[in-house]
Amino acid sequence: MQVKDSELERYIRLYRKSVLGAALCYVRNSADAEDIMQEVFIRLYTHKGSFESDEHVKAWLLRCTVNLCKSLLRSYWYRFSEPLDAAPEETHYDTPPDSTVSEALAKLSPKTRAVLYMYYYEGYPAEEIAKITRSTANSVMLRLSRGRRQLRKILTDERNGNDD
Amino acid sequence: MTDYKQIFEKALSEACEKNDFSDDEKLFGIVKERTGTMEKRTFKWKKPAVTAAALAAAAALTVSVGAVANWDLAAFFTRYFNDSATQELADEGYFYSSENYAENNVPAASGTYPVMGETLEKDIFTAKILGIAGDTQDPMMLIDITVNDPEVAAASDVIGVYTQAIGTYEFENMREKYGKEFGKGVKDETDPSLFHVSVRVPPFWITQGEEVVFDIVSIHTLGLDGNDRGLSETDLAESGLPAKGNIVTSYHIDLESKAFGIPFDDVFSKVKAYNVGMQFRFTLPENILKEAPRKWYGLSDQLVFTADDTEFILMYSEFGAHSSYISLSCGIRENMEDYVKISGPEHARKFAEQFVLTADGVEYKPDIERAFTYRDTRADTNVMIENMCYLNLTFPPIDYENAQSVTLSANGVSYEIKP
Repeated sequence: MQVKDSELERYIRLYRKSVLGAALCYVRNSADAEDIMQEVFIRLYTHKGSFESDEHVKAWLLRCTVNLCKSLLRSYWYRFSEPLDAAPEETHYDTPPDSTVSEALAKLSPKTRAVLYMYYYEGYPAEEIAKITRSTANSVMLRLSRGRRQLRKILTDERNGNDD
Repeated sequence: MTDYKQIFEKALSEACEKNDFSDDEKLFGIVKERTGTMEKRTFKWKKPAVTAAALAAAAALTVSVGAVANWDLAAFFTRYFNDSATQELADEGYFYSSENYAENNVPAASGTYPVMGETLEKDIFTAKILGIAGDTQDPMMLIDITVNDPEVAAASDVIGVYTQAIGTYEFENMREKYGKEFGKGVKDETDPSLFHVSVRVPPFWITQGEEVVFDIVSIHTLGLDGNDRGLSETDLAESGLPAKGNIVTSYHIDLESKAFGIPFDDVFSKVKAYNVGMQFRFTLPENILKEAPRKWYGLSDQLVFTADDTEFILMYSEFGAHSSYISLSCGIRENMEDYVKISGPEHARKFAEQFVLTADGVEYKPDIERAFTYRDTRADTNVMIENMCYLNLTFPPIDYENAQSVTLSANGVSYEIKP
């Protein structure tokens, strides 16, 4: 049964930021993240299946986001072209001088960033993340461990560099 | 302690401040408008036309799994290594050869690192990676190593090889934190200078679909008569192994002793190390290995066994072609004295002996020599809690997929792993 307007409104209110956050883990710029966010909710609105709960909807949305991001990253055009309307330095990872967080996250691989995001920001356990990203729980756990180590090192190196 | 949630909250806030993302109301309007007009939108990332380069890139993403170009290579596992478990998996199609790699990937440009199927020369050796086979528990890499010094080649029918396979970032920034694997090389039946090596690679790095660095760290041969032989402390350090006497090194030296067929103490006097550092870099498809059933149980109260005020809680199980692996948490130990109490080999064995794995009525005891306890000081393992200790057990392999019932028992307490 197709999602009703009232339900769409509610799901957007509940999960728009989660979808956007997940998309930003994978894609290079804000325009692509916006495109993916729109596409994900369009697919939700036209989805003909049923959902058991709000949590089911959220997991479905995130899985859809991950799949669309992966399709984008795999596409030849994306890998070898620049976005048509983006200025050279204009990415969502441009940061103000006093912030290193976004820069640090940008240095992680998309998969690692997404796993960290879903575990720490969204609060998903490893097995749920594995279902969303179509990997294994073991792979998720090890990627979390790896990602934390990398991020700690990047933040520590940048902090020490700023102190010099 | 790092607050990762705050890191993402800040990053997301920054992104939303800098960019004009649709808010709730606007997004609702966009979705309604686009679905109402049934607009078929062409995203700017769709390639406008098929070009030769695009075809080549598309071909690079095509994976041909199981299409073993040279089935003789897969037969190496039984022919040279008596590894029937990996052989069976290779026969099922879980074998990715260098020919498969060549079909699916562009070789590295000269001046960069060699890939699977390309040869690399260093010191008196030539190495070439032939392929990888097995499951996600114990993937086995096949390598051919030619010993170009006839005297050295003639001195033994066996060589020992230490390898490291990790991600590119880890290799370039923190390789000392990751372990090495030991593989045995067996002389070819017809070419006395050629040795075939089978070595385990860590499954995590091989299954990510990202670039992996495969480094042949060190090659060990039996030394020739004379002064130029024997493992020194420098050899061990350059190989990346801890100092002599360290339990990790003892484990590796024991492997060498068995591989070369010489007493443990003779390894230090009779084995010569060549710390070659022969580095390959390549990317493998994600699904070339058979998935070994595994499960994380989390920090639940699925109590299995209690002894000496210690609760052993089932954390992780993995059932591969070579072994069945069970990990149980046994509490947080922040005090070193407490850790010593629980981590001594005799202590681990005392608890390990009490566990039984039963599959469809057949009972299996753990391999006591491989039982060990481990304190996770960096919160890297299982539930990622600092100083959580684990008891790790290795049982014989079982046919988990087809088993109707799998149970772990200890001291009268049983836990059903399957169903």
